[in-house]
Amino acid sequence: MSLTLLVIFVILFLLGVPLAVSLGVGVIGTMLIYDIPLNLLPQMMLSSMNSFLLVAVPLFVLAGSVMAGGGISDRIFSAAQVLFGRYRGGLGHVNIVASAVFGGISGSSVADVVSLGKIEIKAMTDRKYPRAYAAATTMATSTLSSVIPPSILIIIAASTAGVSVGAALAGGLGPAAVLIVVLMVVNYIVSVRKNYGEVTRTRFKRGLGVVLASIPALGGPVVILVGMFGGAFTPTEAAAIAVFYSLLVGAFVYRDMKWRDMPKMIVDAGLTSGTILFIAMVANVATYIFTIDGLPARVSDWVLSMTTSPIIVMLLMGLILVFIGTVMDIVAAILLTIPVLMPAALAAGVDPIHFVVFLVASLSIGLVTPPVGVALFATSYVSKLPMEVIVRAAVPHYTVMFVALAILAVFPELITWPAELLTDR
Amino acid sequence: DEEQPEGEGEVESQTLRMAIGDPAASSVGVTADHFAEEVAERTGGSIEIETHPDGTLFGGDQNAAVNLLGNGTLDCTIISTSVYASFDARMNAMSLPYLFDDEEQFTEYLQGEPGQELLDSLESEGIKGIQMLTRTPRHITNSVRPIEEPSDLDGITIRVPQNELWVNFFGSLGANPTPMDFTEVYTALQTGTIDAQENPLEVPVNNRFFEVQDYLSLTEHIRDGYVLGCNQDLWESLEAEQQEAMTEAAENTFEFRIEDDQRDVEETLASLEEEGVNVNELTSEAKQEFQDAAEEVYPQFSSLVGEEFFETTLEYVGR
Amino acid sequence: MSEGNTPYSTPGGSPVERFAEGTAAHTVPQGESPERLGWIWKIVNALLFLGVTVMLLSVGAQVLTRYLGVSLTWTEELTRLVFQSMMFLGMAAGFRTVAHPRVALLVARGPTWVKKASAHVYAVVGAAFFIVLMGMAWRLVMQQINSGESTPSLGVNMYLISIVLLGSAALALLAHIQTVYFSKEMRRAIEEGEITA
Ligand code: NA
Ligand code: NA
Repeated sequence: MSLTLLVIFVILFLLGVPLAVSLGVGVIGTMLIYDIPLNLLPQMMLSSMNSFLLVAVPLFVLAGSVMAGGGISDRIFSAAQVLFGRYRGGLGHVNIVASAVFGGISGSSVADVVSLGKIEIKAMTDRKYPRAYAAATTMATSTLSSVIPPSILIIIAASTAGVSVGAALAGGLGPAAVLIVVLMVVNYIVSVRKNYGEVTRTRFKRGLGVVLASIPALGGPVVILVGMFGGAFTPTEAAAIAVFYSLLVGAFVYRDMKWRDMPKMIVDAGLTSGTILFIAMVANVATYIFTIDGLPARVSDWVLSMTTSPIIVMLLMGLILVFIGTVMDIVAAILLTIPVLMPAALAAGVDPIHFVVFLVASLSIGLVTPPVGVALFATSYVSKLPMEVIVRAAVPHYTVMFVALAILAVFPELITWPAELLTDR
Repeated sequence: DEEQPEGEGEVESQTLRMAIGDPAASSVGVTADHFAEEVAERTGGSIEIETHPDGTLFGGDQNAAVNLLGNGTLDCTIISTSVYASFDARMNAMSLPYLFDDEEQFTEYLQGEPGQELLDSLESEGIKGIQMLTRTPRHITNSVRPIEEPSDLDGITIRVPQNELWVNFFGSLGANPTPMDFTEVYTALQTGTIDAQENPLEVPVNNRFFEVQDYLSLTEHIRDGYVLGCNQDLWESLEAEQQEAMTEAAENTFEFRIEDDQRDVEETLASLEEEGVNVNELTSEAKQEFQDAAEEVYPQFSSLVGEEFFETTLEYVGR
Repeated sequence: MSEGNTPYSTPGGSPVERFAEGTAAHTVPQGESPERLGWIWKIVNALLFLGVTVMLLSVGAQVLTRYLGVSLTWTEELTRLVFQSMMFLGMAAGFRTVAHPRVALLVARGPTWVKKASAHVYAVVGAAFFIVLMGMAWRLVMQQINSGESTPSLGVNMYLISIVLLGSAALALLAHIQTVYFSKEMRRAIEEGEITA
């Protein structure tokens, strides 16, 4: 069943049919062949979008447009250029840090790409980074949003696995730190070797002005972080707050905001999100087929037949999870793989918190990996570059992210240490 | 070739998919597995039930599960009566706050005429309701103070399902009932966006809410049940003996569930107290106060349940 | 946004950009006859505008009223219902500009006949998917009318949301036909595989 689905899917997308349609026709074909009621199709599409969490996607898209239209992002990245522009790859580093901060808020790789990504790519290309490299950096850094607390995905994974949510959230700091380090190293090396990005020095007085002007813009994340950790609103609600704050600053502080642009921004937010989430709608139906086919169970049996060394088991699982992350909706993937893969991991002696956090990190890397990463689509969408161009530019990023995964597989302390430090586990 | 005469020789075994929304280790998961074992045994293996937990067969959307069950995409499910309330308002009746005097009355209600009427009502949706199942009552957890009497709820921001029963009841007690997606509840409790949540005991336990909640008050304020149901057409396609075996297996599961829940609750409470959670029960006077407060808002629920069944239910419990 | 330094630019930017520029008051690209049934897409845009605005205000109201201690209790449900509807409409509108992600590697490198054929494959496969979806969504609407499924807080009949899905499938079908067979520009874009997103 799973094989039929995947074969139809691959043939169609190689013929240039949109990926979501290819997957959808793969699903329909499989249902017809194996006599599964087609009623499933509209019902699962409806239930995939019956989610308050996903509401953050259009709202963050809108926040991104308002920040761009209201002159907020310009000021942030001008200030960043003043502060970091003297270093090779400075804006690339800013891109990474921005995702750690904003992405940490949105908790969603896709939201990170569609809101911040557009701004980041523009800022980087304006300062003479190739568009493909800017897109690749933006895409790779979106993985941070899935692991930096508060990560909704880690909460779901920890509760599904029955481990401490607090410890797992804290454990997410491990992969976040490792990813930040390796991505910064890659950015530095690539920028230096290929001479990417403008190196500029600004005179102190002018620079001070630019930095001061960016303070209201930088107030956004501060307001959101304080409000969120202070309990005024939840991570999803933060998306709406981000829109309101950006509107206020853009309209009344910088006065760059043109109200007549608003309708277009609002319509685009709906259009962009619906287009990006189409794959999630169809993936929900595909999940049904993978489930009744027992695909995850077969994968797990196969893993344990290969080895029982915890390190090798984790390395293998990392590969499997990255693959699953590319073809399946991430929440569905969490729900499906934990019950099936976790017993195998525990049997091999892996720490449960280590497993849960590692699982989310692997799946989030799957989101940016071809052929079907949702965050990869989103990057392609906002950068208006073909996926293969981004993928080629991101080869160094993929390489180090896989190295990072391997490091996280081999050194459980990277995850269990912050978990123990920050909770009384 | 002629088909093999039925009843003689090997009857082909049939596999039914049972979809549930909770994890395999949850009380519904255990219940589903028990039912599966009973059915296998009582049908001599002619019906095998395969449990699919975590809502993976209906995208985690329980309303979708009801539709899929009705149109035959899913074979069987165990789904809460509060989900069915979106399809038939009468299912709301058992969730009137402080409706039942005790566990026994609740059990009788489900097993008795009202429960049967609810099961029969599912036929119009293409569902054969085989058996009502109990669920443990809902309690309040919070991080402010123990809830010992109604006035303790004053000013407490509590996450509730989006249903008038909860909203009006908690609102009338001076609390601030607020809707929130379940996946955000842990973080919201942690950061203080909300003070409290209310659910059957196993929910805060399985979702680790006690990492961020100090008080558990055994308020038993609202109850709901579960419906063990299968697709109607599928049910009718079964042999009479198979139907009988499934019915008996379901009745057995009803008893199993009550025992299993009781054992679970005792163990859970003991371990929570050990972990330092402040657990309090309501005194009988306090319970009476809650009950009186609840009855004051009952008139608001008549249309929510449907007048006729509302009266039937109140009469049945003697209110 | 400048695309001049990449080999993937087309004169005047990608159709997505051209579309985006003309969303508020849809403009006709030069050299094209006016889009047939353009009024339908104007309605879709108006609905998207309305829906996203409602979501934003509803989430805002949820935060504000909870903070004030007088929570509105229907905001979460309203937001979710509108979100569901908007995502289906947005998905359909994405086909109007051929904005859905594709792997156009083989098509873009292939000989002319492959490019020509790929546009028909695109249309036929897409149409097949949305026709099946329409049929099944119709059955779901009927089932939901019969079962009376409604939402717990606002009492909205759920078949209304399924009708949005049904309508969106029809719109996506229309968009396939329009882009492949009635717009030279979009047709070329599909054949060249230039708008993979
Ligand atoms: Na996060
Ligand atoms: Na980034």
